[in-house]
Amino acid sequence: MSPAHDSIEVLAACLDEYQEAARAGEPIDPAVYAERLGPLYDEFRGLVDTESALERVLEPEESTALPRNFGEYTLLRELGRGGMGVVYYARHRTLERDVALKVLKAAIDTDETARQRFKREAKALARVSHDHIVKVHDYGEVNGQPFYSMTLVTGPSLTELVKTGERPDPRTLCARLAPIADALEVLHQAGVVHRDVKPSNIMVDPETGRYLLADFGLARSATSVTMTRTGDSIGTPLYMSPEQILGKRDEVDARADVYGLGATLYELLVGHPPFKAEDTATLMPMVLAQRPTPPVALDPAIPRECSNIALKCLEKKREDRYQSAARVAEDLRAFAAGGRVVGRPVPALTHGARWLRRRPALAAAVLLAVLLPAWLVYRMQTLPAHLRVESPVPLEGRLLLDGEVVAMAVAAAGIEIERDRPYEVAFEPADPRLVVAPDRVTATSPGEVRVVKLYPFPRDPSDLESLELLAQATGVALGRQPSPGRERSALGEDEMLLVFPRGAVRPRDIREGRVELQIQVTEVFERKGHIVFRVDGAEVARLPLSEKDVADSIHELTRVPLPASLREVLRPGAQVEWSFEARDFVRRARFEVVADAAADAALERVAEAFAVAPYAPAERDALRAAFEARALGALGLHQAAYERVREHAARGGRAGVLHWEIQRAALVALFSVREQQSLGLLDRVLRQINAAPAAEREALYLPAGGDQR
Amino acid sequence: MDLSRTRALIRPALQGDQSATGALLERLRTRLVVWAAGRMSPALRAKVEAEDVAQEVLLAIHKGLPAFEGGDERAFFGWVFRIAENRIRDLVSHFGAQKRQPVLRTSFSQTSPSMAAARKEELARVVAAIEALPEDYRTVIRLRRIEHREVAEVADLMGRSANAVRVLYCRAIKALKEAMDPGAGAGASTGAGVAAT
Repeated sequence: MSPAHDSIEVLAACLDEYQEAARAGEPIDPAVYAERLGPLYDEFRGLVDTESALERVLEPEESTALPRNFGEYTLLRELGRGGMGVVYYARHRTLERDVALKVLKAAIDTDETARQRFKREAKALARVSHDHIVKVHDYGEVNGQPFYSMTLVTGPSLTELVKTGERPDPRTLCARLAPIADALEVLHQAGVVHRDVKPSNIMVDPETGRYLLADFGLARSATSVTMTRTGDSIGTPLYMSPEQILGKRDEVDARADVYGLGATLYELLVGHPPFKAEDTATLMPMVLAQRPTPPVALDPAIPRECSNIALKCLEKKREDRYQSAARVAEDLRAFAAGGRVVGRPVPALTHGARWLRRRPALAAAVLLAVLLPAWLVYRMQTLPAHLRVESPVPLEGRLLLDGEVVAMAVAAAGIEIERDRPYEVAFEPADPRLVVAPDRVTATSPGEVRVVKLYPFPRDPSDLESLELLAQATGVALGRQPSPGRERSALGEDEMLLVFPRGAVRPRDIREGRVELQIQVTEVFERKGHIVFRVDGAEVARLPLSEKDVADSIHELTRVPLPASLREVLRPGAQVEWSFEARDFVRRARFEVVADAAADAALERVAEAFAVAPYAPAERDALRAAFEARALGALGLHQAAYERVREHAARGGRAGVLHWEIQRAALVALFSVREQQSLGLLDRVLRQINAAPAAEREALYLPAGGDQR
Repeated sequence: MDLSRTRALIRPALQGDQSATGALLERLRTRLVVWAAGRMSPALRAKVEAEDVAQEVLLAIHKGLPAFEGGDERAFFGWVFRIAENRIRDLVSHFGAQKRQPVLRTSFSQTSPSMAAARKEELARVVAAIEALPEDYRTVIRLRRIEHREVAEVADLMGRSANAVRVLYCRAIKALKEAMDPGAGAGASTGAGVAAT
């Protein structure tokens, strides 16, 4: 093949890829090809330009020349443009009335649900009447493009006010914002959540000086677009609540607007939004995990009470915020009048750092945290339902309690799982001494539960092996074996199918999209090489403890002397007493830990931060490596020892106990990086946890008296 | 390749919204003119203008719209270009037998005042450039770009491999570029080697 021929092939391939991407609605920036094509790039650009010229003829842009007619209106000039729509200064031709006309963008208006929502909300808004809400007069559709008209407010928005650099007096500010809170309450009572409360959506009436709430009904869809599609212009998450950022539509209620109002108050007080970041990817984890600097800390002239109102609105969990806009209004007025403010933000110590103060739960999360990045991203895109499993009882078979057990629980509870519908399994143990890896569980036919495991590490055959053992022990059918009516090939590489007996678990709360279970396991103990699960005295499961890798990892990682004889007999199916030493070690680790519910929440936030940022896998790995490096520093661990642990963890699905602790410490280090004090605290806590037996542990730590950072 | 405007108009047009129908047909007009330029042989072009073919096809679409069964824009485009194809076949057989006669010009949306002069000029330039291309090039641009077909489909229609279609398309666009912009000598020297293969 001649070089010329090669080059046309390359060009053709790139052109095709470029075109297909555009066709799929996810256009690629042609500049991406600069590196790939090298000297051919100029030619490629020429081809792309020619295509665009052709395209301009075939699909002319809608005439944007103004003025132009739009239904009964004449659009005179553009007032603003958002992710979903354009606002025009328009005139109703027959009524001769000037209005602000909001038109849903063309690219969106093919989405029927967006159109319906737009119309529904316009309709609801047209019924609402409040002095501080911009009045909606009319709504409808022109050429399939929905619109609504509002009273034209020519005054500046609060954004312009902030830009002047003048900070309004906090009391005057709160007095003026209180009616906006009232207005939101009216909207909420009418069943409308604004979803996009921010300074640019609050206008100042030039005549009366009063604040007016504007711009409804666009933000909601913008959020979901942000989460699921790339390339669409997105609304700024600067004023978005964590639940909106996470795309948890079900959770977006009046309290999301309370958040937006708090963000607005915050910005007006200090002159910038609660969080500042250069791009969305950096911003989102901040909104999810970071506490805003209290306004009073930025400017001592701001009264603490006023600062607190903003912080209370900006709580991460909606349960911690004001529960209604009316409550915000009350506090704004109380403060403006010099009265007592009721709302208090959750004290700083209960956030992030708080859980460091206590002994961090040794359980509940690190494997989880390692798995979560991949998993949460997945969940947000595709998993609609929640499957929550609760255990009131400390289940001690930690190393074995992961997706398989959850699946067992689900099947045993006799819960009807919708066929082939993915569920999210979030394990929220009442006692955080449980570790359960999140998995995807679907029922494929009555009595069968499909467990999908998402592995962060290279898959180890021992995982399958242990599942097989589990299957043998519980008498379940394992999907890798061909079963009647079921093709082996129907299972993906990372999927395993388990069938469990019913009866061990009771459903507690089953609603649409949500299942809560109570595992009635009352006893878990080890006997003759098995972990036995009992419910009301009756054995429901017997899991072999003969997973050699578990034993090995404990041995390797802890240097607990493991008798050669024991190593020999810890083969699958072997009937032996579990090693006292090893058991003692495991027990010791467990017994020293006290439950701390806050740790779960904190870890969840970190995990979410991991998950939300659209990191490429390589970036994520780098990020994780950085965390781990920090943790090593914080803990004073030997790099070499840590490497060993890591290698081991990477080899097998069952991470060793210590690796697990290190991962947790990495997360802790992430949180504490801003607070040297907590870092020292953490160090001590972890030392305490890892204290015994000292002889076995010292190999992992710096020599005694190692620096306390 | 953003069809969103056209796509947005299809549904209301099918539902009988007259203004949407008008806007949709107006958008299709240019596409059909370019299409006809790609589809017609020089011999046929000597007898009938691409614009006239487009006009007739639009008329047929306008008439047939109430009976169109609906579907996504693929189905709609498929229908549109089937009508266009039939019209070309009619013309071919017609002119095989007879001399040229004036094509029926029925006006449902008159000349479009919205179509800016600049756009008309650009259309004329594209049409002229496409008409100057060899048949293979015209065909691949028409199928892939104007009729919006998948590579596999085009490969099928043209009896070539998918890869051959990609390469052919790339060459066609290259040729189109030169036909539209013959003055661009700088690009031609690097491009010549490629085109010569």
